[in-house]
Amino acid sequence: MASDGLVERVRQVYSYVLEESFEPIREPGRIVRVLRERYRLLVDERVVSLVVAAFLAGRPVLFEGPPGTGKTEIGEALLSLWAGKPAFVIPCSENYNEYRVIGDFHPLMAMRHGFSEESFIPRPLLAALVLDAGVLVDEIRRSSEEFQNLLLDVIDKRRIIVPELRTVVRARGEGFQVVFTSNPEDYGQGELSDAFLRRVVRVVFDYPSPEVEVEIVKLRYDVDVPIDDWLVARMAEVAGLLRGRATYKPGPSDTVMWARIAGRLAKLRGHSRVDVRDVVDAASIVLYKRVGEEELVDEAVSRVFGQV
Amino acid sequence: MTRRSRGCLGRFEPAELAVEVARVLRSRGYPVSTAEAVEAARLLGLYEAVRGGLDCGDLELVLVSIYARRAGDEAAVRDALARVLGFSSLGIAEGVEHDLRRLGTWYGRSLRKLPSRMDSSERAAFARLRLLGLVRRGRRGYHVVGEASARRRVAELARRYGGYREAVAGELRRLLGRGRGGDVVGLLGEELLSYVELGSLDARELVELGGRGRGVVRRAAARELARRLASGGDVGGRAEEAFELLEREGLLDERLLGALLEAEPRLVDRAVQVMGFEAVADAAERVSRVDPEKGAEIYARLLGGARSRGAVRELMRHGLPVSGGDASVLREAGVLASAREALMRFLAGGGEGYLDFAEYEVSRAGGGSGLAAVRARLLEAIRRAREGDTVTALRMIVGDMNDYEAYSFLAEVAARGVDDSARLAARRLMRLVLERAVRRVAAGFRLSRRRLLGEETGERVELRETLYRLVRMAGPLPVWVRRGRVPGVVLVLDKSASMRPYAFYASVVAAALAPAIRRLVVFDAAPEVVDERVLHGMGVERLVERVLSVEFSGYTDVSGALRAAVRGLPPGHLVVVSDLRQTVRGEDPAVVLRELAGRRWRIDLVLPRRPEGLGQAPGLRVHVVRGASSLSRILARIVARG
Repeated sequence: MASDGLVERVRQVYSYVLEESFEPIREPGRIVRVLRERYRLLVDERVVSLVVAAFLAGRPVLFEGPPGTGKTEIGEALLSLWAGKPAFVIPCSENYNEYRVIGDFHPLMAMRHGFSEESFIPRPLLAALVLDAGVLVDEIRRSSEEFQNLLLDVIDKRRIIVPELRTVVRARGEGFQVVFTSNPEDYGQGELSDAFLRRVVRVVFDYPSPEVEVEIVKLRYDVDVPIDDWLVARMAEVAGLLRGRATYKPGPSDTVMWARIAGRLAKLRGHSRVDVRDVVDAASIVLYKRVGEEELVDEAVSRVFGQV
Repeated sequence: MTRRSRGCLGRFEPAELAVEVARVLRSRGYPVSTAEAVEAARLLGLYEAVRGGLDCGDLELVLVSIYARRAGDEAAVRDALARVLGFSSLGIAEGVEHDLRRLGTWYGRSLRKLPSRMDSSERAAFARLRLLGLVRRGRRGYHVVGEASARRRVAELARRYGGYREAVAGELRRLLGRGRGGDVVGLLGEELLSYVELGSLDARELVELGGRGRGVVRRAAARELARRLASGGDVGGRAEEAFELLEREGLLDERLLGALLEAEPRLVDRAVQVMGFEAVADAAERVSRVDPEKGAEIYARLLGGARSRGAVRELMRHGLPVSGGDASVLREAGVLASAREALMRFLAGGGEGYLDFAEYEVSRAGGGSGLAAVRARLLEAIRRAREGDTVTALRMIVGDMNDYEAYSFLAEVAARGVDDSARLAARRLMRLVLERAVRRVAAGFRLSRRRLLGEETGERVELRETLYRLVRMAGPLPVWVRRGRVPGVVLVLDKSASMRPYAFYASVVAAALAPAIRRLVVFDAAPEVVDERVLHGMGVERLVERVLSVEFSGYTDVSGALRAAVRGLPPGHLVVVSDLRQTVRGEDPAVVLRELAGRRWRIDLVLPRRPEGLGQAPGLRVHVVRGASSLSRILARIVARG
């Protein structure tokens, strides 16, 4: 079992998690409301219900979909609400291994104290298990298969073994849940094994309909210069056009960013409302992502907004 | 928490539904484990408890989250669910996108693999997209049309058919109706039967399907066709193909033969070959009871074949109407055929007596039955031969023949011709006939220069790498790359005596493939191996010449040649043109072939007849040459596999 020393060490290193804890929220309707009001996230209640059902079943959830559709943000928020504590985020890369997610030993401390709690540096996965918090494993496809198997083992058995400390750390409540995110269409992505996919509940994210996208932009627009609904609707239309034609497909997060920058431009220019000029100027800042696609962006913008 | 309507679930309990959907998915090739089905049932239960009920959208969401492991599987799960619940089929766009994901591609992109390298489900997905016009063939291989044009096409299909399955079935029907779609039929495989109701196809479409399909599809089409014919249906003007199909599937009996002969009396010769004289005579008698004139025509052909094959051939050659009742036409045609035969024998070195006989026979033919022009032409050829102008006589005789007939005759004249000039002319004409045949066959499968004639053209500068090194001051400059050729075929050509009757076909196949050959093995008792280096030096034209100049004689060591052909090469594409008759002591060719197939060689066997005891092996394909018309198709298949 986990020694008190190890638990104490985790609490010491990750004290902010305990300081920011609150009453967990686990009822889907309430979660949807809080996501909207506190996190400014618009999430379908069905998706929330499915995630809650998966958490109740003790299954990890895989959010899969194109970039900019809110997978990471929604995942982190759901985990936080479920556990009543901020979730840990593990951004994956090829060289991630157990030492970077479970913990490793400080070399100098280890020389002085040997392999003990004093020289041990707990990492997010172990901390989440000890503190009964959620873990968001971002871009799981970028990690190695070995790392994926390690995670699955931890999730299945809800325990971590630290052989150097001769300690087994077990999950203490229902708060320890895992959400993976992945975008199979992005560059440099690996493949997920069948064994991995069999163990997760896969939730597919897609680009929202124009109406929902307008609602998302309005919800997340945070500039005090107002923007008209029809302008937002046209921006969503441009985004839709580019998703069909450009290599870089703007997600709703890009549309939100576009609206925010247009709002700030309007404010700089002393406008009382965001106008078409602001939106069109902001487009080149936000939507020019790949060399050679500027013309595509210009064409889509001028098609929707006309020549400004 | 109030329970919501469970109307969507119908008679199912959630757990039962999860298991049913898993069963449907398994039947479609998706490996759904029992653990997953249990998990789906459990999650459905939990979801229902959390949400207070399950509507159709909920069911779909939960089942997709468990069963759809990868992007693109969602549509299949939705379809399986719809099938279990008895709803309508997939939307067209969803179906298309599912298939695109299955192929690992997307709108506007090219395909990563050739159809020949795909597994069966990828091939079926490819076939569906090709059928719907969403995958096209370009100069650089297959590609998916752009998104905008795909959307237009999908909208059009949706208007016309409604669902994806319906669209695939409808387009398949259209294609079969136009007598096209061989590649799609082959690629769809057995799945085709789930799209097409055989009973709704007409005879012409069935014949097309049977001709293009393989295995189960061909058998099913043949059975349906036999059923139709037996109940008095027609063959839609495709009697020859119907005959071959039924014969191949072993369904041909005397009753069906009668129906086929009635539709196409020219089948008599082939029917005699397959079913014997008596059976065809019986069939003719049966037909004559219903249609005396047709019956007489079949008789005439039958008798022509039995007594004087030349008479009917003579008539056929000049496209004259055949009337069973008009014995004088038959008689005169027989006489002229006999004269022609005699002249041919003279030219082939048979002696002066044949020329005299030819003159005598022509004088017997009255020339009043519409054969006057034929008689005059023959008379002129005889006169020329008599005057010593054997070259013109040869040309006149050969002019009326088809390629194969001409080649066989010319080969005979070239070997033992009446004089030097005839022998020389025969050799020249043989080459011309072969070249013409090669061109015709190659045109049939559109010999692609890019694919087959992509010869190595030496080195060129790799600009990107050179610039990269220039900027970083790294490595020697400039960077050269060798331009490679598409890996070609190893061609094994049997030139033994037993192949002499098929020399024409063998030479045509070999010559048509010449540009793609990387190793040529010409063998009888001993193999002669010409390797890539020599072949390159030779150039395509000389290689064709080399192939066309092969003389067919000697014993055969097929297995020795096969061993020599693959020696020192990594597994690749092997094309064997042989009758597989091992006439010297050695290994069994079938065993060697299976062993090579096991070593991942892709083998295409081109044979004059189906071999016995060869069996099946993955990677081993057998093509039986059934006539000049089948050569193009065979070559196209071989090339597509390269």
